[in-house]
Amino acid sequence: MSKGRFISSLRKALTEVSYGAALHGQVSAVLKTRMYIEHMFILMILGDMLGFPILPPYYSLRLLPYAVPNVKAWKHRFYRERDFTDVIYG
Amino acid sequence: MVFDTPFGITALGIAIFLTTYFTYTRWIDRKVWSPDPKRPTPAHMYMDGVEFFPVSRFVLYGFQWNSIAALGPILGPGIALTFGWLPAFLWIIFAALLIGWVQDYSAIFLSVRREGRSFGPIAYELLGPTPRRLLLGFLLFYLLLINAAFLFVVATVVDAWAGSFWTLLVLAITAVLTGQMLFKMRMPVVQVTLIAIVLLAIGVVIGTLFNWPPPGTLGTAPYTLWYIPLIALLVAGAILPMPRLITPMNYIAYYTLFPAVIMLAVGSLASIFTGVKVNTPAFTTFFGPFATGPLWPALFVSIACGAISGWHSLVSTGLTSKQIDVETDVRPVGAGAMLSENLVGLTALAAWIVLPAGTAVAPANFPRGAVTLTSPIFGGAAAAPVLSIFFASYMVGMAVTILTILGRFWRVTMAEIFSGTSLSFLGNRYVATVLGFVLPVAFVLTGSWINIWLYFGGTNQLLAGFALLIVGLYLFTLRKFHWYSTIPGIFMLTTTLAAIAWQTNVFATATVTPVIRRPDGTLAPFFAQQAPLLNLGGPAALSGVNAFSTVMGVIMFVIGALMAVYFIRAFVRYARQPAQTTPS
Repeated sequence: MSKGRFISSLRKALTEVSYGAALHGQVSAVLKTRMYIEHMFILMILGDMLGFPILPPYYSLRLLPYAVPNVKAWKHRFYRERDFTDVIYG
Repeated sequence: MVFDTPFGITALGIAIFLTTYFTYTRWIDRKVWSPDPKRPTPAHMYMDGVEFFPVSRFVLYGFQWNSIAALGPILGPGIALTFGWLPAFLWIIFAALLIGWVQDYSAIFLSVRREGRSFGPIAYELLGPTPRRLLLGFLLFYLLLINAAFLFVVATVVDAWAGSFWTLLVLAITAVLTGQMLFKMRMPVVQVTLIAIVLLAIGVVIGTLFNWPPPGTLGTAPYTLWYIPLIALLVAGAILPMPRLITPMNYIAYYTLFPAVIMLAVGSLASIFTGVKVNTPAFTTFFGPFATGPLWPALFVSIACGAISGWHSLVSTGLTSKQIDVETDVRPVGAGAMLSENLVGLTALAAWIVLPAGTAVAPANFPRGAVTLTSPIFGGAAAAPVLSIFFASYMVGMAVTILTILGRFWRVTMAEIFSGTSLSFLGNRYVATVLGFVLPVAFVLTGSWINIWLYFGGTNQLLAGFALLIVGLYLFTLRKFHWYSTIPGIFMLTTTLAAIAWQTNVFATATVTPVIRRPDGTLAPFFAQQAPLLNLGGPAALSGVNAFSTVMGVIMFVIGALMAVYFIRAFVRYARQPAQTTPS
């Protein structure tokens, strides 16, 4: 490895370690907050199918395209067993 | 002699940590877990962009290290000095070699191989429903104890270094502002960080200039008064949405943690030139005072996270394992971060051992040692007042950031336990949060922070023992080499149960004999710091408070012993079954 590449790799590693130590926890917490809001959004739109008719079908169908990209991840999260040891970071 | 200065232990320790990383961890990695860079990890299999997504090993290393670094490795070595610096040093080294990284690394790998499951579901899967419920109950008491120990330490440090409270206040205000700037005003991270660092520095200067009130001017039990603002801050942190206070505070606190660790490491390594000497005896006694107990088991639960900690298994399986990009990253993330944490413990030990001989082991003395170690390089005697507040704030910040996270964790655990029962009000977010910080005050009223610390250390390491044995059990079901985890697990389980039993005995003794007669005929409380409580409520109040701690100790011991029985039964059960590819 040339000296320039080594220095570049070292700088990248140090930047990433600093990011991980300082910000990654914060980013994870924000993402989780967003996840909970997404859950509410999907529940609102697909509530009919689950027995919670929150929105009239007309509005649900209008909003459906915005929910579809998240359905797969949402399904996985709902099927996955969650435990109290999962919630240390929110 | 190189061991006349902290240079000796620090240099030798770093050499051993590096050797461990490049030899033993690599050997276990290849022999036991055989990581395959082509095998998809949960981060890829279940990618959802929230919990499961691949993250660079450097980012995860930084995250893991910051998440596991708390007050334990800073304060623990000071308590271990009861037996001299050599036993403390040897335990840090021994744990770094054979135990600490084994838990963190193996917990991550186990979770990666079990679809990113966290500690609770894995315990359920391997041991059954009852041990999982026991674990849940255990965690509740563990959180109480960790809250008690950390609150106690923060209050005593703030009482001795009042300036650190004002610095903490500035930190909290800066955290709120940081959250607003990042999430409401959407300012760039670099700008926000620079503003936060400047505000943090101003906070240290304010703390130095406004070091008020002076120690000992707040009455006979001054540290108890500090609980009021501290608990108010912690309750706010636990109730508010995380991006409002907790996560920005953790983020900013990193800019205290990182420089402090670097300064301590540099100060230790440079001590051979600066001439800062080791003033603590290498070995004092095997049998410490009755309240502390003998070297075994007390030493092995005192250093806490600086050697091994059960909290790490929760972090490792709670988030880190879900974001591992490739299996070959587990070793640098799990083992690397833990060995770095051992270094934090080692540098803290270096700060403790330069204190003048005979200095009492008290949390408030750590900044004095840190200043002695670092001031010859960083500003000399003129900088000592600023450095004192900086290191006191470092301790306080480390404790408070973790306490806010624990407050939330406690609240969720309470909701989990009590929802749907007749006591569901205990799971209410406000009731649970307040209870989580007020109940620990009952421990604090014992006045003996060392005993509370040893209780906390015992439960913390016991949790680590559970994690090690769960890993051992999993490997045993696959008929793989499990002894590297099972033997440390058995050692930790035995040691911590002995430590909890000893401390329970101490509190039971204090319950039965709450006051003792001094040689001059006057009466004194069993724990000297209980004098204000004795004046306030008499011996009955002392007995009541000590009985509370005794009952807690008994509960912890029973849960630990029951878990040991479940582990033995599980090993016997799996021994009768053929090797599995996936445990049932």
